[in-house]
Amino acid sequence: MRVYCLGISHRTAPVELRERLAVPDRQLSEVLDSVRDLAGVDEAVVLSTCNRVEIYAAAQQGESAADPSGALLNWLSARSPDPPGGEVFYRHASREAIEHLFSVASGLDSMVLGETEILGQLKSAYAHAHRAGATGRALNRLFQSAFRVAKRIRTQTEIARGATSVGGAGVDLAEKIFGDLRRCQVLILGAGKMSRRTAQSLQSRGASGIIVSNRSFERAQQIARVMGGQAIRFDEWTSKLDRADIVISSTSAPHHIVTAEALRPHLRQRHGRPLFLIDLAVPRDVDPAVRRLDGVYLHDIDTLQGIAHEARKRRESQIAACCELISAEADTLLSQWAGDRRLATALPSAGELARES
Amino acid sequence: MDLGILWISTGFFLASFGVALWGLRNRRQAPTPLRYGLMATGFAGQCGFLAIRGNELERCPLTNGFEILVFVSWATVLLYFVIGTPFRLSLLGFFTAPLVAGLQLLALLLPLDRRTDLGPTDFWLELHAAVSLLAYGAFALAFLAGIMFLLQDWQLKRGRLETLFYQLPAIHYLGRALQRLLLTGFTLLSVGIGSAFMMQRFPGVPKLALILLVWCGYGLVLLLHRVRGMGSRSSAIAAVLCFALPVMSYWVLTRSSL
Repeated sequence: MRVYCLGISHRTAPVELRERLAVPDRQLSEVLDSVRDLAGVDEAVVLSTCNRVEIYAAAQQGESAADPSGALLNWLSARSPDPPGGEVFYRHASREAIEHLFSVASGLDSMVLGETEILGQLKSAYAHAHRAGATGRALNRLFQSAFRVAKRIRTQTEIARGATSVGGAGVDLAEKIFGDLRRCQVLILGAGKMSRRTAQSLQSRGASGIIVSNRSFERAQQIARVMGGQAIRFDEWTSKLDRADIVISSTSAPHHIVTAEALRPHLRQRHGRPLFLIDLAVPRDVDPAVRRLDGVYLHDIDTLQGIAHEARKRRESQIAACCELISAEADTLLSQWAGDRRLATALPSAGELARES
Repeated sequence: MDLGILWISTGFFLASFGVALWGLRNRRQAPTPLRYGLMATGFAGQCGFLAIRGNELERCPLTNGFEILVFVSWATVLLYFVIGTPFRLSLLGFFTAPLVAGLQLLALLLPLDRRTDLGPTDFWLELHAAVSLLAYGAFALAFLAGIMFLLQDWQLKRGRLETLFYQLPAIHYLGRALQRLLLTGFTLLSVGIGSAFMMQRFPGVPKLALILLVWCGYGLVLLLHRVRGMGSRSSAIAAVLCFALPVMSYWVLTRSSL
């Protein structure tokens, strides 16, 4: 058996093309059947996400067996009413295909380096193909290895450590302050888009109570309705400081609205429970002097961007280590296949290896 | 034989610290069974030592500075298992292991294991000593939790998220664990002081005054937190500074005939 990978991704094709080739979930079984009907294809997995459409296939190898990569390319490009040129597709075979899958599973090929959502999407694509009977010994082993490699890379390197966006950095910090966010109340001051996004990220990690306060009470009500929270008038927000755990501020006020004097009387009522302030406004809403207060943690847009930037740099510095791991794991898989008679032909011949290198 | 067991126990705590250091250096935690296994084996060694020594003396082995140091180490590890684990404070072991290993090395290397005239046994005296030293174990752990809190607080205030940041527990958990440890220590010390009044031979006023000083120090920290709403950072600083009181009382009590 020999494995192939053919596809397009955010690196090779614009979104207009990716969306034309994308495979909706409801069509997945049908698509798997038609891929397996192609000459030479014995096993197949189709991965379709917003950033990539890829087909992984396994085919018998031998003098009489057909190379399915041309057929796969024609089939995929024919999905678009206006077929693109071949240069937007990439084709990998044997070891290259294995290493590519390992890179995809580990988030190394993702738009946000090291993101983990792709692993779930890959697992789901594999599960679908497995249920449809489209996978066999070769792809089963290949995908199980890919999942293991992704886990190993995530735990043994820092490729997935630290948030790479402002909202994500805010959420990471909130978790390092409170641990479990399920009991956290979030107070949003102002109706900025960034503060809503950050609050939504907090909600996605479990934060339950959302309180919105804005100079325009109608706007506060609108946002509260969308987020499933409660709206309060702008002159009432300080009354919520006893119970709020996270305050996200992004008003357009020209002066500080959250000051040490405003916070101090409420801190005693909190009995040591921390207060996390996220200031996304420019000019800043929160007086930096509040940093000196016991139990108050303030992060403004600059510090959050700095944290996200540091995380991106740290992730980039891990690429070489990840590639080494992937190469070693590909060696292991290929040597396992060499020991398995039924898969032994998956190994490229010496001539192929020379060509690939 | 009992000293051999104590050396082995110390070795396990040092190994536990080594494993945690390796994890920090490699930016990942060592497997949980390994970390807990090393701590648990070290603890089993402490239990073995105290059991043998207690059997030999036919009383609670708290008759000299050496045994007191080992007992405090044992109490610290016991409370780490009781309080640290439920609070997801796995890194507390990282700080506990070197402290305990250090205390046991001090006990083993300094000439503290002197046999003294023990006199008749007294249940209340043994209760007083054992419970007071358990309290000291809680204060030692509060000292460590206070250091962890201050480290995490420093990183959070400055937005400097280094390797230790990701391995330290949430600061809110640390604050709660700190309060619980202080309260546990204070309660145990209260029982210890109470039992001193039941002893056949009443302890000297200076000795009692010294223990009362420790009790008042920690009591004040708890009172300020409960009544005046003292913040967690101030409590952590107080827990670190107040630990000088038990250390001082140990030093004075084992070097004088108060």
